[in-house]
Amino acid sequence: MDINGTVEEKPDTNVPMVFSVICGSLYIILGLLQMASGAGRILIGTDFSIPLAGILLVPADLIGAFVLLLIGTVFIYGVMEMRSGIYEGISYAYVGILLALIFAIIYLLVSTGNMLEAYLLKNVEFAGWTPLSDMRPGIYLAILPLFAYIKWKDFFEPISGTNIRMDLK
Amino acid sequence: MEGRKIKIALTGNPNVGKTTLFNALTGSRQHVGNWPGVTVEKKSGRVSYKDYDIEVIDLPGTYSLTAYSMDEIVARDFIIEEKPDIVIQVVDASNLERNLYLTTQLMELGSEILIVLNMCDIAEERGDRIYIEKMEELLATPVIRTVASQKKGICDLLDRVIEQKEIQQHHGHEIGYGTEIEDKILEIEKVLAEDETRDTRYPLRWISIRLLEGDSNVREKISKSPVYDRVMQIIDSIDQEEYEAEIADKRYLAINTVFPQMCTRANDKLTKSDMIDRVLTNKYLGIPIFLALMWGAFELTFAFATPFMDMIDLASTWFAEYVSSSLQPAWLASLVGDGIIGGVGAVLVFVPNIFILFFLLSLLEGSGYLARAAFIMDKLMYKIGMHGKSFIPMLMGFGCNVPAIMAARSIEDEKDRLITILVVPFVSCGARLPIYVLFAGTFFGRQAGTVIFGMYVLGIVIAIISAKILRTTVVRGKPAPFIMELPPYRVPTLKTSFIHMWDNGFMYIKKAGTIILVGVVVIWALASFPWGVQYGSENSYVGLLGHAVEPLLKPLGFDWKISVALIFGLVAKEIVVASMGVLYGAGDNSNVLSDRLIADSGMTALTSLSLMAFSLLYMPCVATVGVIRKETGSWKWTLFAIFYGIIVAWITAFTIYKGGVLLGY
Amino acid sequence: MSEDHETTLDTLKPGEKARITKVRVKGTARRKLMDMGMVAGTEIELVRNAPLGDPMDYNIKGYHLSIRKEEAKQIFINKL
Repeated sequence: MDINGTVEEKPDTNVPMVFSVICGSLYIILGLLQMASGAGRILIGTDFSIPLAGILLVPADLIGAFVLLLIGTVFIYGVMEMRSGIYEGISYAYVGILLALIFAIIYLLVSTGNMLEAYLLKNVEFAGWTPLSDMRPGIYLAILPLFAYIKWKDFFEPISGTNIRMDLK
Repeated sequence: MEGRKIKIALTGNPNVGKTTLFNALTGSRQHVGNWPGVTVEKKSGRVSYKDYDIEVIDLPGTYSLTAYSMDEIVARDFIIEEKPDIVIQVVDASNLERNLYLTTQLMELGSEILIVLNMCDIAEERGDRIYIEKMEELLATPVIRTVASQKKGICDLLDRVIEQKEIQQHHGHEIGYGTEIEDKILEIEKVLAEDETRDTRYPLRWISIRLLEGDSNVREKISKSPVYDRVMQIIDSIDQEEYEAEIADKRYLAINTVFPQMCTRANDKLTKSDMIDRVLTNKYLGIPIFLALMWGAFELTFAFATPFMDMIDLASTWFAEYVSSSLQPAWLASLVGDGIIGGVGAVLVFVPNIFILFFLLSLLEGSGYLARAAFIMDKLMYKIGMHGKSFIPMLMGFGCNVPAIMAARSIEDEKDRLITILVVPFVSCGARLPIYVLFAGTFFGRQAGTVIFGMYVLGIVIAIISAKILRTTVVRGKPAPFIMELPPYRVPTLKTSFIHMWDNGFMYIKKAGTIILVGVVVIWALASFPWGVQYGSENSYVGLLGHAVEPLLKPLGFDWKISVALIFGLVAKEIVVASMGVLYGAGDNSNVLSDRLIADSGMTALTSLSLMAFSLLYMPCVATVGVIRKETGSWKWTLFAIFYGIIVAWITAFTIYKGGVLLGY
Repeated sequence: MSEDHETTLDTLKPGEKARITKVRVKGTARRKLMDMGMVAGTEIELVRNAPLGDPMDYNIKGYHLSIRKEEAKQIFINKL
C-alpha cells in the first residue's frame, strides 16, 4: 500500500463516513451476537443458543467476538472524529478496512488447515467438517471492506516496501 | 574460467532495504550463519558478473559504528580487518540526514564507499527533492539510485562496483572537529605511532577519535600496547562527555553544511504512515488492536500449523513402524525405529511452527509493526525488569517455548535477550496442558478449570519473579534504554519474508536438531537397557534412575513412578502423561488411567498439584534446551537454565506440598 | 533565539516543538541518542505518547524516534 504517500487534497469525508457507519454497525451487532452466544455457552451450557445465530453462522467464540467488536469500534471511532470535522478521522476507516481484511485472511488460513485435517488426514476430530463449518461473520463481513479496498484502490495502491525489485536474469 | 575476485560489504541503517538488495544480488546462492563467537547473523553470497566473481557480505544493520551493540562492533571490525574492496551503503532517501551519519563514520574508517540511494519514490512523493550529481560531488562518492522493478539497477550497480575497483583511487574524506579536539587527536596519533607492534589495519586517526569518544572496545584493543598508559594519560585529562557530544555535533554539522545542497525537504505533511499510527498507537485502541493481532499471529503459528505437524507426526510414526518391523536384530530395530526416527520426528514436528513464526515475525518487522509492538508494551515490561521487545517472545511461549526463544532474536541488547531466553521456559506451553488436564481432571473434578488457569498464572508469576531475581543477581543492571526508531509502515516484501523463513527454519533444524536428536537417543537408551527389560520399566536404567532420584523428590510427595515419568517428560512434556499410562498399565486410555491413579498411586489432590507445578517449571524439554544452547551460544547459560528451572520447580513444589500438609490437606 | 527558559524534553506536549540545548544522559544511552541525531541545536517535536503513557514518539530530523521518559528528563530543550 502506498503508505508513505501524502494526502494532499482534503476532500470531504462523507463517503468514508457513511461507509464507516455501515461497516462499524454491522461488525458491532454481529460482535455482540457472537459474544452473547459465547457467554451463553459458558454460563448456561452447550444447548444454549440465541435466535438468528444459526442463520448468521455465529460461532460461540469470545475471542472472535472481541475481534469483531474491535473492528467495529475502530470504524465508529473514525466516524466520531470525522463528524467533529477532523479530517484525520479517515485514518480509522483506512485501518479498519485493513484489520477486517487481515482477520478474514487469518480465519481463511486456519480454515484451510482444518480442511487439510478433515479431507487429507481424515482426523476423527474433524469428521463431518464442511467448508461451511468455519464460515463466520469475521469472514463474510469482510466482503464490504474488500469492496471498499478495491474501490479506493488508488488510496491503497501497493508500492513495494523497499523498491528493490531487480532480478539478475 | 576463473574470474577476478571482488569482495563487497553491504552496510546501512536498519529498515533501509539492505536485505532486499542482498537477496536481489545473490539470489539463492547465499550462506547464513553466525559471526564467529557471537550470535549476530552473518550472511554471505556470491554473484558472477562479467569476468568477476563477486562475494557479497551482508553486515548487520546499524545506525552508527560505535561500540553500542555487538552488531556495530561486528560491522566495523569486518570493514577494518577484512578490508572489503568496496563498502556499499544503502541509504534511505526519505531519511537522508540521519543515514549520512553512518556515511561519515564509514569515511573515517578509510573504506572505499559506494552509496545506493533507496526509496527515492517515497521521498519524492512526500515532496523531497534529491540532487544526485550534487551528492556525488559533495561526498566524493558514487551515488546510485535504485529504481523500482528494473533489472537495470543491479547491473548498473555491479558496473559501478567493477569500475571503482579498477580505478583504485582513494578519496580522502575527513571531518574537522575543531582546533581543540584536532590537537588531541594529533597528540594521541603521535603516541600511538611509536608502538611498532600495533595493528596497522586500524587507521590511527580513527583510533584516536574513538578513544576521545570513550569507546571501550577500542580501548581494550590497544590495552596491550606499550604506549597504552601514555595514551590513557591524555584521555584522562579531557572531559570525555564534552568531547563525545562535540564530536557527534561536528559530524551532524558536517552533514548539515552539505545536506541543504543535495536535498530540499518538503514541509511536514500527513503521510499514510502517520495515519496508520494515529489508529494503531491510539490511546484507547492501541492495546486492544495489538492483542487482537497477537492472537491472530498465535492462531496462525499454532492452529494453522497443526495439520502440517500431524502430517510429520504420522509420517515419522509410519516410517518408524516400517523400519522396526523390517529390521533385525530387535535392538537395532528399536534403536533406529524408536530412538533415531523418533528423535528426528521430535525435531521435525516443530518445523511448521517455526517456519510460520519466522514468516510472521518477518512480516511484522518488515511492515514496521514490530517496533510499535515494543513501543506499546514497553512500560509494562519495563516494570518487571524487561524490555518492550521481550513481550512477543513471552507471548509466543504459551504456544511453544522453542519458537518463542528463537523470537528473542529481535532483542539487540545481550542482557535483555538473555533474561528473556531464561524466563520464557516458565511460560506454560501447549505441551504442558495434557498434564494439567489429566491430573486436574482426575483430582479436582469441577474445579479443574480453575486449577489449570492457576497453573498458567503460576508460570507467569514465576517468570516475572525470575526476571526480577536475575536482574539483581547474575544479569545485573537495568533494562537497556528504549531508543528506537519507529520506521514508516510499509508493505513487507513476501520474497524477503520467505527467505527469512527458510534461513531461520534451517538453522533450527541444523543446530538445535542435533542436540534434540542426541537427547532423544540418550533417553531411548536409558529406557531400553539393560537389554531385555520392558521399555521404560522398573528394571531399565530409567527405572533405576527413577529409584535413585526418588529420595530427592520424596519431600514433594513423588514416588519412583512419577520420577520416571518426569524423566521421560524431558523429551517433550506431554510424554509425562503417556509414560504414566505405561507405568500404571492403562495404555492410552485416560479414563482407565484416572481410575488407576486414584486407586493405586497413593496420590492425593495435593501431590497432583505439586506435580503439576513441578512439571510446569522443571528443566525445559530437550527441544527447548537445544534452542537455548543455540541462541545463547553457551553451555554455561544452558546448564544454568536447566538447574535454575529444577531448583525453582523443587522449591515451588515443596512449598505447595508441605504447605498443604501443614494446612491439613 | 527566544529567551524562554530551558526545560526538559518530557514536559513537551503532543504537537509541540522545541530545540535541543543539552543532552545530559549518561552511559551508553548517551552515545546512542547522539548517533540517532539528538544533538544540541536539533529541532524536535513530540508526536504522541504510547498508550500507557510511556515511552514517547518524537519527530526528529524527519523521522520518528521513541525514547522513555527517564531519558527524556535528562535532555534539555527550549520550547519553540
